[in-house]
Amino acid sequence: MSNNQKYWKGEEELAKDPAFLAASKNEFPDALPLDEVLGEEGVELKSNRRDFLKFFGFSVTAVALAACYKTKVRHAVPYLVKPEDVTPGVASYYSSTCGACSTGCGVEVKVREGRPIKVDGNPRSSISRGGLCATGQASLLSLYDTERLANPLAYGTETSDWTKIDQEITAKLKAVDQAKGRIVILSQTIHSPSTLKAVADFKSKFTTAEHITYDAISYSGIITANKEDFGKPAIPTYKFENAELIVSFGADFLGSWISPVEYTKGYVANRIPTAGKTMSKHIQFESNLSMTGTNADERFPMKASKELLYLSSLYFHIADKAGSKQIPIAQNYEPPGNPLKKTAGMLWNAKGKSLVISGSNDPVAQKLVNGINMLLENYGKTIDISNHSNQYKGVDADTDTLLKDLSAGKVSAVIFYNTNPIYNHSASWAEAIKKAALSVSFAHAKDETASACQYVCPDNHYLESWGDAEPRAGEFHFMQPTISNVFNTRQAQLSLLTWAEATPKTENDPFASKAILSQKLSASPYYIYMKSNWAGQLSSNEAFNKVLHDGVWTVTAESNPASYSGDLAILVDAITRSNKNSGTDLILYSQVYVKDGAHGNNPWLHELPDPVSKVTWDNYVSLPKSLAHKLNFTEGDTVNLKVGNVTLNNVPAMVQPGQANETVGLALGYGRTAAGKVGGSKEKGFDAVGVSAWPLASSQNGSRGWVVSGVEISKGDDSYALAQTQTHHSVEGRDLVREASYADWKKNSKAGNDKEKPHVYTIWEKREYRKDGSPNHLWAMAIDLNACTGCGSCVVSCSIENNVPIVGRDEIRLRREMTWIRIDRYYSFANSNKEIEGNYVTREKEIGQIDKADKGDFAHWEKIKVIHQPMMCQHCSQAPCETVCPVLATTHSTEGLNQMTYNRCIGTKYCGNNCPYKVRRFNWFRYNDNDKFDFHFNNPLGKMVINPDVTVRTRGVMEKCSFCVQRIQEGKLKAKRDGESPSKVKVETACQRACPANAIVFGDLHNPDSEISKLYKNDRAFGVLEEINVQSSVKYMTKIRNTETI
Amino acid sequence: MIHDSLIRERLVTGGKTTSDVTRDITRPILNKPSTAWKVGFTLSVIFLAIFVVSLFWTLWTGIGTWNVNKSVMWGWDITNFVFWVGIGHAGTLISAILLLFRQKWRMSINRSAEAMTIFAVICAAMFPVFHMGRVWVGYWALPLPNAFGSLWVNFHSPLLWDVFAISTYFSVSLLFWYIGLIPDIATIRDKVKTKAAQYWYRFFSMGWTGSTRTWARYELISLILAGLSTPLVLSVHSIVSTDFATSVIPGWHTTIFPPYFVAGAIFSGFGMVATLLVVARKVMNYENYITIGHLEAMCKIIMLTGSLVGIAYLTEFFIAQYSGVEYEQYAFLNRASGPYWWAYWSMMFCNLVSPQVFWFKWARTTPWFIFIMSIVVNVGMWFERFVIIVTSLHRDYLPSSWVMYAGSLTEIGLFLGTFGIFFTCFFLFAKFLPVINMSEIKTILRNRE
Amino acid sequence: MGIIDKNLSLRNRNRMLLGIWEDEDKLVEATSELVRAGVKIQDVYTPYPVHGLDRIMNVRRSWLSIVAFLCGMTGFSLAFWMIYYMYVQDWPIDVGNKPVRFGPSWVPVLFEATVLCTAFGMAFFFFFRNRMIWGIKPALLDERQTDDRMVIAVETGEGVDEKKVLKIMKDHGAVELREKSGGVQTTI
Repeated sequence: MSNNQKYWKGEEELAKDPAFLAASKNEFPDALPLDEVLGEEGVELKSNRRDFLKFFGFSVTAVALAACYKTKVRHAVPYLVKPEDVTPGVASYYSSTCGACSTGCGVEVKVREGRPIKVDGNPRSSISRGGLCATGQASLLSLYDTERLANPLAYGTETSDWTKIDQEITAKLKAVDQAKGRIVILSQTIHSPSTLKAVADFKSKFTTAEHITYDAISYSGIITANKEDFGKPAIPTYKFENAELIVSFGADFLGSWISPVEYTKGYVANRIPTAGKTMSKHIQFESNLSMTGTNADERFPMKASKELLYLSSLYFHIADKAGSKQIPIAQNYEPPGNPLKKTAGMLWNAKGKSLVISGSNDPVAQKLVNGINMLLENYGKTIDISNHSNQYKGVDADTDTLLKDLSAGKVSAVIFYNTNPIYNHSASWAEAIKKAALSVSFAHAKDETASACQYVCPDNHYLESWGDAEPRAGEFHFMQPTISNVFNTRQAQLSLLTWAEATPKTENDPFASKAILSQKLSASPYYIYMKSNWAGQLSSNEAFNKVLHDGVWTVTAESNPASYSGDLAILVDAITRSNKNSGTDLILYSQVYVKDGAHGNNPWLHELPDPVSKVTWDNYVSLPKSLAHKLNFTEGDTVNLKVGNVTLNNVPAMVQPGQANETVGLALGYGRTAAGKVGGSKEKGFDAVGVSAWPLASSQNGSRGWVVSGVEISKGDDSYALAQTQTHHSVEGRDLVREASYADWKKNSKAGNDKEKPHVYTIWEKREYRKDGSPNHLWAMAIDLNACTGCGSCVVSCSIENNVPIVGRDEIRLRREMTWIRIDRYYSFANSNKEIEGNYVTREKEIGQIDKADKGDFAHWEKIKVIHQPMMCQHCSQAPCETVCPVLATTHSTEGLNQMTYNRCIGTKYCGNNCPYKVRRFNWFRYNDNDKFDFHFNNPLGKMVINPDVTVRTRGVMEKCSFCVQRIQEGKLKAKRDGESPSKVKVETACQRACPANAIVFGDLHNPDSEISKLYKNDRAFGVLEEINVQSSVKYMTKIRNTETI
Repeated sequence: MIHDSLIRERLVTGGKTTSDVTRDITRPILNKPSTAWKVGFTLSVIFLAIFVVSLFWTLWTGIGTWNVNKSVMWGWDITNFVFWVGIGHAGTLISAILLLFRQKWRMSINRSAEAMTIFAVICAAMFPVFHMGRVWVGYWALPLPNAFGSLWVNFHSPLLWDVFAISTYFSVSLLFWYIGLIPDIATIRDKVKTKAAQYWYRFFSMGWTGSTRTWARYELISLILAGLSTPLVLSVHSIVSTDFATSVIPGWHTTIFPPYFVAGAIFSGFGMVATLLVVARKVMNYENYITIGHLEAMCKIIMLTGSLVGIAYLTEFFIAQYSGVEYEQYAFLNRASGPYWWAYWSMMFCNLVSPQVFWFKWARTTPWFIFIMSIVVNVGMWFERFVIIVTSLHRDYLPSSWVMYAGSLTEIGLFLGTFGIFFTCFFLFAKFLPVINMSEIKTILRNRE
Repeated sequence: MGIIDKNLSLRNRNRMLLGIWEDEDKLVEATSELVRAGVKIQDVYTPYPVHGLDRIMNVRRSWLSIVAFLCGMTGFSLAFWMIYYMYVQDWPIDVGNKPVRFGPSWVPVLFEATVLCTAFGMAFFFFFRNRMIWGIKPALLDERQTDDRMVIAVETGEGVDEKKVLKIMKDHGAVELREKSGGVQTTI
């Protein structure tokens, strides 16, 4: 029977309203507002046949024309309902906490249309203080890593169903619990109160559960020492900002030691020579040339295995002055030119304003350091043990015992949380894990350990997570999700709670009230959990939301004076033992970006050139010249390493100026075998990047030792070309970088920069940057060579901001890196030749002469000076690149910018040739959607990181630093919107924003009271290549070294 | 009063009559191609294929298939460009300048020299065109109204000057060559038998009859064209040299470049002419037209220009040291003693030292030796351009950006390929057009006073 | 005068006397003899330029050089206008702080443009003047006149003493005498 139901368009129809019926005959019931539409064009609507023909003719042509132009179909999904905090095209910023490592820097996440596209330091955070390290910045890309686990794994097979996995795991846990078997959560350092509470809840559910902390690169040396000396197993807070004299024994505190960003911020505070303020002095004793070493005022090569002798003799000299109890050692070690005695003297003078640290993981060394700092009364001034740091808590001994127990089958369930011991502790874990009845990993990807576990319950990326942190006692950071889960992952804390059946109820969900179209938003249960955890201190919603907004919350610092109970006499035999160390030392170190290798699959970190060696995409054995000479090692050769029964053959190697004789260096964190296609993966058939150095690690008085003495080195029979972004390392005596000694600077504030200005003539009049009469902006940059530590944070920040492609190892070998900003690093070598004037030589020829005359110890290669110089487009007012472009693709803006028009570029590359700074980059290939460059630009997920404000350049066009023109535009628009005067425009370039050392300043020269204008007047300001009169818009501040002579 | 001059030796030997000239010179055109020709032609086509392949690979994948890098952004490509343009100078020079100087000996070589010019310029043009990252929009380098808010071109850019200079030079040379050909095409027109040939030669002979009125104008226009071409030919390489001279790169920024480049161009041009003619006169037995006298004259010019170039090298070097600019000084010391010393010294040997052998009559009058020398000369000139471009770029101002550079297979393929283009054209020319200007030769069968 | 040289066309020249020469010098003598005798020479055809012949025939000196000059001027002004319009008027752009107004950097383009226009303008004039165009059928009087023979063509008509003409030709070493009426040539 047919459906004869009747639907009315409205009651008019029902009522058979005549008007309605009449209207309903027409196609459009209401008259179309054509007149308004066509009115402006003055089109006669009362059209006759002719007009019709006209329109018809027009439309046909229009259609024909339109048909000629084939546009790519792009799918855009509009917001049905605009979320209240998302305005398309306008970025929103959220405070959060960096999860790249356990340092817990406060960050500010830039989100565009729901995609986090940039991570920068949160100025409110007392850890990051507005800066952020390269690793932290790059960690953004791990969020969009296609090789993250999309689903939990059960016995290697993906299942989208969490509940099933939860049941299985819970069942097993219960079984283990009943059987009184040990359950161990092996985690990286956790200082998040809520996470710790979750762990505690888990423990209270499963009584046999325990929580062991394992840090691949741990500081258990310091922790044990402090435990014994102060009864406080923790890392103290080092206050570099209070130190006038910093003496570091192999601690790379600016690059990779504990909390680099925090320390950098503190360090630079006293490094800028300013009238009426003493500049701090930095003395570094080390074997490898670390990034920190490159910034030292005085650097002394030290054989790492003899560090204890150095420290004890330093102690001796100070104790001598202090007249306090000595360590009963037979004789005191003093390296040539007794630097220790001098250092001791200086330290004593800077009593209470000095800081002595050691990078060693050896408790004995750290005890000596404690002793020295105690004598110098630094505690409470430059070292704060009461408000200690929580950033690293791992004690190596615990992990070692756990491994023993696990292999002995004494542990029945093991859960890996942010740890990958198979890769970075010991391969024997693989066997051991099999012995456990239950093995779970929270890994993001199927890493080495995860693939050995029964279950992998992928944790959220930190940008997807709720959380909090307490990097320092009393300093709380907060973490909030900036994107909903990309994959079917779950926060580790939530997994623990679920298994412990302690998941919070979500009735009191604050979001529930916020109903949009009756569609309930529900918060993650962990949010509720965390919130309730804070209910004590932050009762009200407002208070809690405020800390979420700020990202930080501080409780007033307690200060109870440290009670020192250290006894150094017991260290005597340890010290004397170390005297026996002979042969060559191998120093394993943490590379500044790759660190412990957790981010091994992040191409940004591999592409970023090492701050010292400028090597990308590999780790390598750094050889001292003397050894290289002995092995007659030439560039491109490899070496074989033999430590005990471990051998590494054909390891890439290079001669590293500044490498102490009888020592070689090798970076940890490389050689991943299950990282992914970038970092290397056996399973997928991608070679590992670099070699794994973990197996070479030794043991130093109970904690993992990174110094291995007595390593046998021979020349490998293979050859290998390292991909370096800089292959000439000295400045050839050219006036490109200027430096002076602090002593001279105090006499003359123009010291080092008082060379007479070159005579430059120009036949055209100087351009004033004006717009319709009135002065326009004139953008310029200033870079302080004293502040710049060479950390490379700006480089990665720039790459993220400007969608700079990643090109990979082979392209860099061909010298085609794409980074818009680079950091030039120049060595100068100690001069031992009377004929050549100057204490240091930089000319290839002269260095060669000295080499020839050398007896074999190559002291001049050990004793070097380093300077870092960030180099990007100098936006010359008389730019050579602009003149030569035949098609006007690069021109000068009315605001002094040298602008590049990608669309107009035909790729003659002439501009690149004619650039005296060689900062122009050419797109040799299409770097996006190209399988030859299979990085994030080659997959839809990876492309989510692209900054929508910046074009992705096509093949065959030139590109270069734009002074972040998109940010300038944003700044101008903001000022305009807020009706502020142009002089108020506030612009921060990406590099400036990221710099942990505040080395980069950008601004408007036409604004007399802007910081940039002041810096331009600074006596230290100089321009590179002023003599060729290109009138660059970037000024550098002369490097002042805190020494007597230069 | 007419009688043969007793003073000058004849420019054309063997007592040739007018009809002999026609017969000899049209022989290769009227007869079947010789085996020598066939072999040569096939070889050239093979090289041409190499060019096509390399070019396709470049366009398909991108300039990345070359080894040029962030500091040395021009490598073999522009080296080859300047090399070929240089070669492309002798032709017009011989016809134009020697015509103005009433150098009658030019007559038997100018035709082939001009042809060579045109083919060389074609080869040269390949490189500035295909070294562009985006060839498909290369036409933006022309001052055309366009859809980009009528964005015009940059008249400050030497590359733009090149666009004008090269295209003008090419078209004017072509015109000059063609006008010179018309009477000879007419001659062939009246000789060939086949229909097709008759049609085409008639088509291009433009109805030439040899009327005296026409001849009068013909002589005048040749003269004026010669007058025009002389500054033109000098301007072209001067402008090419400004690609470097107007830049800021030490080793490029050198005011001596224009004359120095022109001298170099003539030098290499004559080198190439010698190479071709020494072979041609043997293979096509034109010994009576291209006599030892001609070769000797060319050798003298080679020696002269070689020495000029040599002096330029030394001046350049001296000025750099004298300037006191450390960058300049380094750039030149680095050429001689840096990693590319071999390029520098082979340039020095080939261009400055080796031509000096032409002081000896034996060297000037021994064809096989001249042939070898002419090759040496061109090798030397290629190295000159390589030295100027690469050694200046690979170590310029900032030591941090110093790099090394070596051509990739694709780049080498492109270079060899252009020889394919060149010789393919030349062989076709030798088959279908008279390689010697008959109508002019006929006027000098008897020397007059 | 029209651009195209009327004298070159042999159409509607119903009857002509032709003398064929092999020797350049004799040809020259003959020509001057004929001219002296007041005979109107239609034209002389030679396989190669015989110097001075045009003066003997008192052919007016060509305008080519003037044309060339004019074309050059045009080229120069066109180029100047182009650069000025594009660079100064339409869209002045700051490149490397170089002045947009006339500068040395204009010279190369101006020069090249001038040369280009001169050469081609002149060439086209040349072709027109000589009624030369691609594919046109040549009006040959002897198929060897582009090889080694030379031809003097004399127009007949009132006041032309054919006997005298033929005699002069014969005396001055004409190897062959012909008479051309309509399309046919007959040896005398």
